[in-house]
Amino acid sequence: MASRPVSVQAKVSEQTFTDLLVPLVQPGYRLACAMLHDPQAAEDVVQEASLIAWRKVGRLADPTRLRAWFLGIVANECRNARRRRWWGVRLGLPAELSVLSGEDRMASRADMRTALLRLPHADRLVVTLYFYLDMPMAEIATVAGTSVDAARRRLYRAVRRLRPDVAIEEALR
Amino acid sequence: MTLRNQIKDALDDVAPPAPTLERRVIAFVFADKRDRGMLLGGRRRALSTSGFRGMAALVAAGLVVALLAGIAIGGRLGRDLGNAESPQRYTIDQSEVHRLESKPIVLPQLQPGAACPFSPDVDRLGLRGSAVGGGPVYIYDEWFEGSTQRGDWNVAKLYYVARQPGLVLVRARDLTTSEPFVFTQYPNDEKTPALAMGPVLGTDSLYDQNMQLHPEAVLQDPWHQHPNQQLIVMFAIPRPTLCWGIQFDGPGFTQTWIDGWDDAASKQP
Repeated sequence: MASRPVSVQAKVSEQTFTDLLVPLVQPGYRLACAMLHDPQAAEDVVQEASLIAWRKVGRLADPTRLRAWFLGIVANECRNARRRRWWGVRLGLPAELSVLSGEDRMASRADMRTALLRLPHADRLVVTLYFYLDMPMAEIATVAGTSVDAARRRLYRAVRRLRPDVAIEEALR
Repeated sequence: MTLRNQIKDALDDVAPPAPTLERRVIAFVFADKRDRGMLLGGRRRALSTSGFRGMAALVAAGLVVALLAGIAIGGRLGRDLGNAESPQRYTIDQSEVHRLESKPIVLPQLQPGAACPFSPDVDRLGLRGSAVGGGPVYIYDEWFEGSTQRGDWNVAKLYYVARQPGLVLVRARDLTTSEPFVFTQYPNDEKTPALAMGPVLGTDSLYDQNMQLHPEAVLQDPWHQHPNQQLIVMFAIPRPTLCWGIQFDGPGFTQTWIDGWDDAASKQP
């Protein structure tokens, strides 16, 4: 019978959790910004996700998967934030927040953001993790709660939507 | 420029530095429950300030009392509660709907693999706050709401510049397979005079909200004629649709709008 992995819950003090969480806050924030395109909502999401992580850290059997586990909570909270939007204000980027670095470049960035927003949540998640946070496929699969193959299929499908004129292998660089 | 760099550039614009976020997050996590509301960032912090909350509660309570008193005095409370889904606002002239349904679909049918014939202004949609489309129906914004087994639920915010009274029928379909899309009622239906119409084709669930599926939507008359009235229609785009069209049939006009998932890329020269 396999021994049960040692969970981190019982040993986690506030200071230990702080030490574990701090390096994950900025990746979580960047993920939430990429998913919601709204920095204020992203900050809210990271705060809520951190509170959930503190409450549920005992369920984390493998501490080495902390980053993927936490980002998975952030991704789920992003989905909930969209759900809250359903009944309230629409989250989204006002056009005037775009960085002004030349009209064409701005339009290109805005086009890309629009294209990303049109991806289904799960597809946008793997695109963000792969291209924006530079995460490996195995960890992406953990965050997304899928197999590696499924995560890869999602990524390919999303890339095809974003760049149908470019070979997948080239687009994934 | 690689796709990776394009995505990073685009997303960096919406992820401004938040150098003190770690400190605020830790304070939030270890705050007691009462203080946590005050530590929330963004719009929810603004909404949770006690002054605003107190005033809003007072105003809301006053409005509720006034509303209930007015309804009760009129003796219509029971009747209105019983007909919550069918006040006058939702009265639709079915004969007019049937007349509009008899109009033929004029959307093009594409061969598999054919390029999507996007509407001319599709690249401006939602980017610069401008309404696009040839009119009299204009599309102000469009966004993805969520995915289900049924497909990807999209929402379009419309404006209609009515030239004469009458309903406007909205139908949509995949331009390659001609598969009609299903519509559902946007949840904030008190804010939109657009109604999902026709027989119930089934149900779906998104974010725990049960939705009835209908073959079309109708922009109600005369509410849609208000100059600032938003018309919100919600429809499911079945996978793997890449190019679709929406047809608007109204009094004296038929108008189409063609859009697709690959617009950002396929419009590149």
